[in-house]
Amino acid sequence: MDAGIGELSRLNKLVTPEFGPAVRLCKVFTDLPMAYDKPIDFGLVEFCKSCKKCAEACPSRALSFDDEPSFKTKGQWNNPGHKAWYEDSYKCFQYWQKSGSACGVCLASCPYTKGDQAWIHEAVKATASIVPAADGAFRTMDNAFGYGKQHDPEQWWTKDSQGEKKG
Amino acid sequence: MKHGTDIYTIAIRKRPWWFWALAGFWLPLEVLLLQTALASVKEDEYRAATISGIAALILAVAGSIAWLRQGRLYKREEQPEDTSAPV
Repeated sequence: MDAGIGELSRLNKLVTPEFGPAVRLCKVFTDLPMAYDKPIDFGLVEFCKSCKKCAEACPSRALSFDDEPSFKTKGQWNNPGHKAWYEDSYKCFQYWQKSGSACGVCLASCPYTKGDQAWIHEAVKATASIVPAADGAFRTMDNAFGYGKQHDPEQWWTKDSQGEKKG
Repeated sequence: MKHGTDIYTIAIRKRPWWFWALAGFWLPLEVLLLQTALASVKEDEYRAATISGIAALILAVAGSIAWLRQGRLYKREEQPEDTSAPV
């Protein structure tokens, strides 16, 4: 967050304006003299306050439904000392055990997790960053357009690496 | 009315300023909806593609009708000048 990559979301994870929560971070150590980035605000926290789509989608009910982030942690696994929507990692990992693999439903259901083809995603994100009053409408539209639902796995297997359908 | 004495004036109706303002809003919206429809297919978001495509189609039809109606040629019938009147 301090590096200006994104904001802390209801998932209690980083969400970036470009890729949503669908990112993996890695570090590069260097002694190059570099300028520091600053934290950014692209309206995510305000969006998360009214959205709650990830919390509703979570099969293990591990995510918070609170309207506001707080300092109250859910367990020893949480890193305390900052305001957040702390998650119940115990419930989350119990579901991982039960389902036999990593879940990731919360990541897929986030309205900021989108493909990079349609221009409208950028338009919506830009509007949400400056007009919080539209957040509820964008959340409703996200549902209406069917985003965040699991795709048919069979379709994925018939695609090549370029995203085109195989014949 | 005798044959050959009618005078017809063909005029192009000038579109009002607000119509151009609406067109300036309509065109980017139409492009955005069309792009969303096509791009959503690539993203495997078929519901989004269907909704955007239908919205783009309705907007295109409505816009075309409005464009043609506002700018249509119309025929105005005028009475010929009466040259037989006494001075």
